[in-house]
Amino acid sequence: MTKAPASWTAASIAAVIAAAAGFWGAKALTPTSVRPHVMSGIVGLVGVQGDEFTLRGHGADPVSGYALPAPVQWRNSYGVWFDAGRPSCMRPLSHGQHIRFGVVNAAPVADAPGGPVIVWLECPAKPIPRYPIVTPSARRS
Amino acid sequence: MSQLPPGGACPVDLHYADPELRMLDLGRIVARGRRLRRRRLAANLAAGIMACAAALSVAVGARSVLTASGPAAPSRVTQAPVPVDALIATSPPANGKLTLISTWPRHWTSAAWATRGSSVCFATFRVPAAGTSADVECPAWGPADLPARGTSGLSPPLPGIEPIAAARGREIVPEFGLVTPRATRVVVTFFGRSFSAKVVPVPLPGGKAVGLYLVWVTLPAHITSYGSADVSGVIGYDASGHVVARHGPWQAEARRN
Repeated sequence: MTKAPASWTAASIAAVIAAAAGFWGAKALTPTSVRPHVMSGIVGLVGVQGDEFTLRGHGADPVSGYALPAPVQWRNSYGVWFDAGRPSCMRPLSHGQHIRFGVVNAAPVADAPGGPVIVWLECPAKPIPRYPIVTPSARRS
Repeated sequence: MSQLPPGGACPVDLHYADPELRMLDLGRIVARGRRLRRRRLAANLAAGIMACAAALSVAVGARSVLTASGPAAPSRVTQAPVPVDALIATSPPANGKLTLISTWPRHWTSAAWATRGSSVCFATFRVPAAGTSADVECPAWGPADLPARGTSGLSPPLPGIEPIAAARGREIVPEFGLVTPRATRVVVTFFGRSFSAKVVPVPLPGGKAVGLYLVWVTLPAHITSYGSADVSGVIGYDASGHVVARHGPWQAEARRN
């Protein structure tokens, strides 16, 4: 009768260790995903190459600069997402557009630098135009 | 074996004590058995719970892999259906108008347009709109694909994704193509069978036009995948019935004619 509690305790400890090992093992095999910090503001100026811009934000940090990586996922003014090319609203030397973007703050590793990395960008929304559908009447030769 | 003598008494006295009849406590035995069974059941239940907990911990640890359908941003593309107008507005028509190509099958419209860069696009969508039932190909053909003088007068045909109609148990699928605007009708050979379609002129920037056809081809039985390579020939005819464009294995024969 006195052996039972000891074996139960050992089995419980083994089970807890196995569960924890399973959790951490599975977690280690899983690539970590980071939720980007969503920011919005008015563009102060897009760089001459179109690969950087300043943002007129709110609060204590009124102007901040960001690199615009290529490629970056971006959404045009009509709500269509792209995974290639430059955002249509971020033409070189343009300014005044209201944008929203997701930023991940990467930590430096050894000699490699860290810093804010833009992972997606949304252009200001515009009303979607509707184009008339016409029936071709006369043939051209 | 020797037989007992008559009378039934044992002839030999072995001189050891007759064992005392032992009284067993049946109640205790039954109770102990019940305890043992209960403990065994508890051990099995505990083992099951621990196995579930271990599987759950692995699942929780790997939840982002088990629940993710892909990278975050591309999945957003598929989560929110984009209206067909937004896709058209992304590469708008140079003249601000779409050219009607077809209203078949029922509730479906196909239209085409040329962009400012002289690329030609087409869209097939449901009217009224229903979910993501739309196929917008833009650019479908770049400026280099436009039929020009000195070429066959045809562009590579492109299969449409939607809609797929059915007739007599066979699937009917769309194929789009460009042809010289001199053509009014094309005959397309698909899996060895001929299909005819009218040609619609689509205005290009600069006042020119290109002919665009949408031909509905019937898939042979047991064919589940197809492509442009299965179109073995296209012939374009003008209003008088003369061949004005030709592409296919009989091109040499056309030159002789």
